[in-house]
Amino acid sequence: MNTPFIKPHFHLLVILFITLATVITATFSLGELKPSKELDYFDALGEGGMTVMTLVWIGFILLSRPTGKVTNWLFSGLLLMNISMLLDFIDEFIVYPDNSAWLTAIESLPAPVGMIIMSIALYQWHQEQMTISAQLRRTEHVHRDHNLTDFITGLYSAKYMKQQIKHQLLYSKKNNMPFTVMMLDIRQFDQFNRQYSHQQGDNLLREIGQVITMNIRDQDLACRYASDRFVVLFPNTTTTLAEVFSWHIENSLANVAFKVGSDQRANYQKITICSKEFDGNQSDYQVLELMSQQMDNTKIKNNKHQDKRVA
Amino acid sequence: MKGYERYDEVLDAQQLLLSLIDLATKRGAHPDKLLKGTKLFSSDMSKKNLAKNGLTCSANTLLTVIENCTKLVKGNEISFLLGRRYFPSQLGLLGQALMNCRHLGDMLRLCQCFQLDCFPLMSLQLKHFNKNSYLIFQSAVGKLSKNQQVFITEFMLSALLGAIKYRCGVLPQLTIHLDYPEVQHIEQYHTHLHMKANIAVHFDQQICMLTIASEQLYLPFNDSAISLKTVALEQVRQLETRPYTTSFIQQLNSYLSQGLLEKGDLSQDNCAQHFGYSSATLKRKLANHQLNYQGVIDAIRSQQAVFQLIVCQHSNEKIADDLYFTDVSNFRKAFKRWTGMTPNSMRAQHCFN
Repeated sequence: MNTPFIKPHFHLLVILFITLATVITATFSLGELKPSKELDYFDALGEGGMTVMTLVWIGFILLSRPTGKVTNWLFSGLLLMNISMLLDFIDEFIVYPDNSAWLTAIESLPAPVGMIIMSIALYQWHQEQMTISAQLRRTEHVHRDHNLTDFITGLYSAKYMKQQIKHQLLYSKKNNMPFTVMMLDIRQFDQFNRQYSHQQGDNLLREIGQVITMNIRDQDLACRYASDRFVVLFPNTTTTLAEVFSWHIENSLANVAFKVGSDQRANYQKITICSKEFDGNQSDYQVLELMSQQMDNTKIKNNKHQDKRVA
Repeated sequence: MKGYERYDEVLDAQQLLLSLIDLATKRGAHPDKLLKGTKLFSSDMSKKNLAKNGLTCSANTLLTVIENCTKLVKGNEISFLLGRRYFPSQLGLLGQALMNCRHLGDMLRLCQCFQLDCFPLMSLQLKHFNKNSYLIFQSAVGKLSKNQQVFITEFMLSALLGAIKYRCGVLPQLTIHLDYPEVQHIEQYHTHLHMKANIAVHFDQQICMLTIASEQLYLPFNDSAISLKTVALEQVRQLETRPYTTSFIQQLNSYLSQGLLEKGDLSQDNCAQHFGYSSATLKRKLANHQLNYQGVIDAIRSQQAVFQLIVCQHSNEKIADDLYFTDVSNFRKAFKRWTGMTPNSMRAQHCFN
């Protein structure tokens, strides 16, 4: 499972092995083994542990990051620190002849250089994170928890929304500011699934999630609720304003010409939308329950309206 | 007729196991991790191997995968999706027969007769009282973990509601009692089970059942064809090479509840004899399902008591009498032991609901 992460970093791994091999062969060829009674096992254990841990960190960096500048900086910084620690560790077992004493003198040099490089790398990582956060706006509110994302749409799940609503309720009550929750439901989603397979249904959900995020402000938050339902949280917003937003969303979704696989026919989706204003006197559970109820009422009303038109 | 047991490799894996693994894999779980503890690998599920051997699995395999799935996949959505997709496409010929039943009651009867092909993990028991029908769910494969119980109940409910909605066009008013506390992922109940709109859901009850108006259950469908159903059923029977279609635990339950009703001899020896086993074999078989004989009897009596109490609203005296208790205080004590609350407090709680 992890191989796809290792593969792009192959050249870095080669550098790592060559460097470590050079350091080890160089030290062993230059110095001689200490007699065993001179060994300080306690010290060796500590220094060995540090060496292994930096190696583990290098591993994690390579596993979790794509290739790129920031990864290279992080890797080089950690590698230099690792070299220092390795030299220190080997030092415990080897004595150098007098003409090679310079090795002991410079052994601590790579570490500070590595740390400076690491600091630069972390600063760049921070920059990178800012960019990613900007990309995530509207789908995330301050708090990050990768365990709460929804696999299908990439939005956060209902659980995250519950937490955010809880915060919003506290905030609203304290500052006497209303907020609005909106719920969206795709009409005839079951039929779509039956007709085009569930895989396509999942794709449709993802696209609709993206369209919803395109239509909301930076401070708003869109999450997937369950099945074919989405929830949007509008802080400090009254229903009147939310109605305008719901009109925007409805309008743009009505114009999304979804294509099923390589089929060229366009598939237009209709949605049911409802919103409700809250003032902070409810519990998070009540908010979502009221929303579900309102959604069901809206659906019934819409169906009646449609029946009338048909008749 | 013999019943299937937890470790018998008789379940058609295509139906539940493969669709479950498929769904979970699409939601980011690794197939081999899902199969952990089952002695199967994802390569066993490849087309080639399936064509060669045909894959059957035991109920225990399915339960293990369900347990893994609840731990590996976030969102608690899979049970509902599995249920929603179940009818009629996943059921093959039986689905065709089900599509051509006269009414919902007829469909339920088929589900009960073909338990192994339909709902192998839970049995459905139908009871009528006044103008309502009550569908009681009970594990058909022995003791379940909390995760498994919730998963299977959710799967059954969404499959049943999906079928009802599909055949009737709209969902009638239903009430659901669940024997586990309220879950975190309540949003799934709102959307998939239409909780609040047509369906009233009560958590933390002592019984797991679905209530439907009897009138609705026997409302005839306009578009059913009896001949098509007969043909489909005939084909199912011809394909049926397995000697048993209902589970052993289910058979034991119905034998025992019949015995309780008639006040027959319910000793373990007598029961073992009825099923053609020695007493020790019966004991071992129950242990395989993580059950014991007295526990099974208690569960049945408890269920009957709870049903009489909250549905029929009988008095303590009447229930004690019906269940052959010597006096009311004995019944109260036993009831407290089974459910953790006295009959009166349960009555009060239920009225509150």
